[in-house]
Amino acid sequence: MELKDLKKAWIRVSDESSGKQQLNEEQIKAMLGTRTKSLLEKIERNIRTGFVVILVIIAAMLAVDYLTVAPSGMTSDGNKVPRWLFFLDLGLNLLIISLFVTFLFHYWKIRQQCKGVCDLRHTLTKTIGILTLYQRIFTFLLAIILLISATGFAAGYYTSINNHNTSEGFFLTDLLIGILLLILISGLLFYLIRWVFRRVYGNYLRGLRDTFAELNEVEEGDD
Amino acid sequence: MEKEFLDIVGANQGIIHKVCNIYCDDEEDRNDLFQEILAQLWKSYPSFRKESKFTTWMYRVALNTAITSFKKIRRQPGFNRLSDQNLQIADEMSSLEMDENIALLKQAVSKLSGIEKSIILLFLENKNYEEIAEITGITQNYVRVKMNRIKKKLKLLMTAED
Repeated sequence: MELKDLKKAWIRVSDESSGKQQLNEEQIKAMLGTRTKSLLEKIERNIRTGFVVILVIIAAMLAVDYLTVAPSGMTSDGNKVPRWLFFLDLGLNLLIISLFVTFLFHYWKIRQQCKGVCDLRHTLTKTIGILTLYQRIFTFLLAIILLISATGFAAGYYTSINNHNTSEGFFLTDLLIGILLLILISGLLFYLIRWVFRRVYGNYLRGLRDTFAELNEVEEGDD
Repeated sequence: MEKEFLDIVGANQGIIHKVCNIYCDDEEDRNDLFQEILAQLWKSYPSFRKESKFTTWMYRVALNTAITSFKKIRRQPGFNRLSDQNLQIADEMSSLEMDENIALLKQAVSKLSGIEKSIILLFLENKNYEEIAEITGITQNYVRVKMNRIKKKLKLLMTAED
């Protein structure tokens, strides 16, 4: 059968098929009314919530640092905050803020890729970009929490040494156990997030990437 | 605007049904996809600037939604079966000469990938290369190349099924 004949056959059968499925205005209206958010809309909503949560964490961190400790340069138990700890904290805050701005900029760039309704290529780029960003935001949130824990641990450890209230041997064991626990918790949380994301969106993302690669393969393969 | 939207989409709803039929296995999935496409059309309607034909714009929204649909990809659409409804239609056409060819065509189309399905659907719906390029975002030359590959693949698939 030639494609010309296939076309005729297709038009005939598809017109008949879609004719049988015709909905009236009321049914279409009802469908629009009962619709829930799509996966991508939910993800975008979660990304925006994520940004707000990160912003709140950053604001809280800055408030604690610069409203309580920084003005006096002393800790709550009267010890002077060492310069290295102050710079560590400052560096950490700058890193988190710059990463946050990078994420915001990246999200804005993805959203600006095309106005109105994009073609298939741009839709795929946008969807893949949003999903990847979603995954990175989770990791970013985890990194913030772990970095806060790490500096908290360093500060606590320093204060204990400064107070000289325990033997040196205990400090070393304490330090090693602390570092080990931090690495263990970080690793576990990182793999847990990765595992959950892959389980929920892994196949979907892979499918999208394959489709995108297929669309590009035509362009690249025939240059 | 709602009335205008319902009128124009209602008159062209065949496009959505065709996209749903080519991408979905069963009725539940077809209904979900139909609703999703409808919602995307409604959401995007204010940005429709009449720079392209309404049907071209509608195909673009419908195919974008079908290709990026979560359920569809999770269920491996490249290998979806003929839907009950399609089989039913093929059965009803049994009195016609082209019944066998239609069944073969549908079987072969169901084995194409998501991108191939969109291109062949647009081709079978008499869209020219320019429109297909506009909808998919690849150049006209590459649409032509891709189309030739799909034609060969379809012929092969149909011969194998025969």
